[in-house]
Amino acid sequence: MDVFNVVIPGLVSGSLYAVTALGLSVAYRASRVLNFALGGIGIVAAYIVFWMLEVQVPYAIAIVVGIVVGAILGGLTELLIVRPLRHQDHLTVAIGTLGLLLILQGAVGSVWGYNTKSLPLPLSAAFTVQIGDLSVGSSSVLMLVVTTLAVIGSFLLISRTNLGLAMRATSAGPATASMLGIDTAMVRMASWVLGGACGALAALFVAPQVYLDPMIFTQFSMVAFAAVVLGGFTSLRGVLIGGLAFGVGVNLVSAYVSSNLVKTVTFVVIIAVLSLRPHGLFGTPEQTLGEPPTHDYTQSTIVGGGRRSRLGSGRRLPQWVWWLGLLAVLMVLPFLFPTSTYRLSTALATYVVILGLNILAGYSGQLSLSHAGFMAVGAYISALASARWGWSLAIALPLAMVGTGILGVIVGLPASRLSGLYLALLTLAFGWSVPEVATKLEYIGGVGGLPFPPPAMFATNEGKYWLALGVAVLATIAMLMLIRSSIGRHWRAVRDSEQGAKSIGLDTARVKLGAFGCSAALAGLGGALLGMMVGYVGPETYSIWLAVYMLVGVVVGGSGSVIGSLIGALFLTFVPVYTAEFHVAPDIVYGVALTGLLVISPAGLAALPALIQRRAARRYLVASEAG
Amino acid sequence: MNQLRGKKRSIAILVSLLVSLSMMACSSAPAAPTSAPAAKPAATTAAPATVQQGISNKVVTIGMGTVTSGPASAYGAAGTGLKDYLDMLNKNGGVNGYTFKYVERDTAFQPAQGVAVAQQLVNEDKVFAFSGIGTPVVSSIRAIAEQLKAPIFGIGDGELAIPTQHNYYAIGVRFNRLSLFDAQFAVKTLKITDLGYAYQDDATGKPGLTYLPAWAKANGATVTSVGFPVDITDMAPIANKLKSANVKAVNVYAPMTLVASLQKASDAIGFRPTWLLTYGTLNQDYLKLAGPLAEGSYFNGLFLPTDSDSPAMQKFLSVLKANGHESQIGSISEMGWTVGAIIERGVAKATAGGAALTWASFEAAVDTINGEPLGAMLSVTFKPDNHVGAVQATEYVVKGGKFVEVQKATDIPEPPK
Repeated sequence: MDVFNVVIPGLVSGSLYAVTALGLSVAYRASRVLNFALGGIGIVAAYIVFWMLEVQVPYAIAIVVGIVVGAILGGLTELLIVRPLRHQDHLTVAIGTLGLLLILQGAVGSVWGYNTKSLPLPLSAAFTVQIGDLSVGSSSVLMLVVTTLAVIGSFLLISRTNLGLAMRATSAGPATASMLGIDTAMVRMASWVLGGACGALAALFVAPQVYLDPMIFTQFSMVAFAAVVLGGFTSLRGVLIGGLAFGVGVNLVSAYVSSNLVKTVTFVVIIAVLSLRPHGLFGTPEQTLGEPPTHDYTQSTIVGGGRRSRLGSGRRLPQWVWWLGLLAVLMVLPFLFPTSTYRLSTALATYVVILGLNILAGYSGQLSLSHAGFMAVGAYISALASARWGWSLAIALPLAMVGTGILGVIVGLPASRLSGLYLALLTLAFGWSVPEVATKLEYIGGVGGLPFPPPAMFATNEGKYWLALGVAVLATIAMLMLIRSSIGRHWRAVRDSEQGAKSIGLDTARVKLGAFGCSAALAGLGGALLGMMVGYVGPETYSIWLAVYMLVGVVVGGSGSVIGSLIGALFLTFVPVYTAEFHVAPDIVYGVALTGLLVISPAGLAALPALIQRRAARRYLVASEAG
Repeated sequence: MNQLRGKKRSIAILVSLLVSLSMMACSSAPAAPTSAPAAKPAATTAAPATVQQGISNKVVTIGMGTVTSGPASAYGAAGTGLKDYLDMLNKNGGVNGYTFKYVERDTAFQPAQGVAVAQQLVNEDKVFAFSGIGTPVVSSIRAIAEQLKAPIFGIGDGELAIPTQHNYYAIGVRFNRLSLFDAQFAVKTLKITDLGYAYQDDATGKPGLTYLPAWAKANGATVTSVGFPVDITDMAPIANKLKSANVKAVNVYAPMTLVASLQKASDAIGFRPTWLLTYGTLNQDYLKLAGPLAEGSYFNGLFLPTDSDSPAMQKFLSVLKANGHESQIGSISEMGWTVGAIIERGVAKATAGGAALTWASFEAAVDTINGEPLGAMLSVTFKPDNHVGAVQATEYVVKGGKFVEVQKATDIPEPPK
């Protein structure tokens, strides 16, 4: 095989990873926020160019308009998401951009439909460079030139201009930069505008390479994210080299190992690189000035809803009364809504998964995109035990839980040293690789999956519901015991201040590891339940989008809240039913709920009644004082 | 000390939870061990019960588990095809006095959601019959087909109709046989024996490898196979692998977007084999995507090409265009359209002479469709012991930017013993 024929296309792909990553990195530098919405920004720009070409607008004009649209959307992201949430922690703001991504994707799908479309390459037939038997088209040459210029231009902007200096100062310490007279709001806006333009530019080159659909650029930008974190997210050199190396590496793995093991190899490489160099190959630890925090973890953040979203706030009635009341309602539901029994049972299984994810995201302050992977592992273990080996469900379910918990600890070993976007990347790569590995293992059914028929006792919808309710009750009791024990206090201590937790003698790595294990165990248990209800476990179920939706469930319901987990599960289960009836893309509802709640009630729907009560009380006090 | 206590408590809570879980589930009977695929419960060919639902004042409710959200939303075109067909029937006065009401629900291409939607269609919407699309989704629905009782038309792998379940009909071909059809065409007609099989590595592409190597060996051919994920963004390594294996004809099982990408990547390295593509690419969208590289490519055809002059295709095109669904014209909407035509045929036969429409009479009528062109499908066959709709395929080639038939419908081969 001619290595040259693999390396050159890899460099072209790599240059696109680099320019996409530039869009992420520029915004990150100014705000410390990972812009999940870049995939949506890029795809909106690409669709607008597609539409302009359809109405015969010249390509050169269309492409300029596309980039301008990207820049405007980047600016709007800053204005509408980042700025209102500026007092929140960075992870919360990042999840806000995830909400915008869902809105943009849903909007594009609603306007242009979900059928794939073809966007022509710019300069597609201008010339061809022949290198051996490899024809490098004019578009590929253009991509290499434009992306190289974009990276060099950004490098010069950041290192040689006043704006670049202001960006670096804002990144290191926004309060200090403000005191030095820097208009940090303007600097942030400029960074997000530039980031949006880079995203649009990359999308306009990526879409013609493959095709145009509402999610294609999000997939690409997630891979780009992996590429540049490996290179070093905060280093422009790392962005460029990481992108190019990743493009070539992927092609070499595809050509010489297997094209359907790329994600797994990526996961292994990420573990290896981040274990040795937690900030990527060329990255350095982010230098920040010691400024007082601008956010209050205990009041308004995603990573720590903790205290204010407990059921009933416990002032008038003991909490157990509320829980018993809720249990009574749940026991009556299948009789009130008999035709929705199956959906209610899947909602309860989803609740167990979200409860698990809440341990990480809500109680211990770690972002995880790996939970679809843990669900898959739990489902496969229980399907093997129950359907293949003929073991009782009484063994299969606990086995799924223990097996997934152990895997969670193993994945948590490297993860416990990481935080922020590095942790997000590691968990993302794990979530990617699990379905891919499953397709390779014929013993667990390969691409065809495994049957998982429920035992006769649980074959009916009612049987499934009572089983799910029983498991959910046990999981809730265990969770309540955990969060009220010293373990839960340690989780919250690490979440609120890792340094502070260390200073009182806590082994924070071990605390995080424990959280990972417990979280994965519950996700595995929920995954096993869901697999049994469907009667089938297959790799295509556990995409990274499932992990994203679970995260939406945590945030919408209420992070750091047990009852919020149930609300989140009901939201995820029943929203698609109603959106289908009203012909609205569920992603738009998810996105609006996510971003809206982050602004109005960051602790989710569970905290909304208390929030309304507080505001009403405040208004009453103000009115009484005025009166 | 504190941490040690915490650890002990953590273990105690975990053990308690596990014991409780075991106790709760221990009364359940062990599941019957099975190694059969998910959608292969025991065959039930017994006559269905005579009860039925979904008919009120001669209005028959037909359901569709479609896809309107998530990454696979393009499959929603199947629902459009079915709805447009039923609307057309209603406009023409219905079938033997029966008209149709269409209800759709979103599966999001998720198996769990597919089961919920199927139950909702049957138990809440009270449909008479329904369809679903996507192999993973219809796999999960097939597993509960017996419990659902209503006739189901699954658009996905025909293998799901093996063994025969009286109320489950597959709108499609057994994927593990389709690659043999292409290989047979390459070896017997084109006289090419150095074959390549490039496939999306999932439940639709990989089954093509099941019997292909053995078939090739038995027929004096060789096969080089290359799988790739469906979200691949660079086809250069795949093209290189095929080129270095020196294959002369490549059978590709992938969405048309990836097919076109592979052809472009192959062309860029001077690799120009004979392309053998599948029925999903047999439409004008593919021609637009691949441009001049489409010329000379062969296609197995289960459905009519969208540029066909046949009256059946003209009817399909005119109805979708009239309903403002031009953007959804393609092989996926053709599948839904075909389900509509099969339902029409079943209702027409079952109610001939004024007979009442029941599940039993409908299924008995559908079981008599034998090699008929229906909807956009070139040949549909259902028998009481065979519910795989497509047992024949036609071969097309792109010539002058048009799909031209080069081989009449022939049987899809069986694997070597």
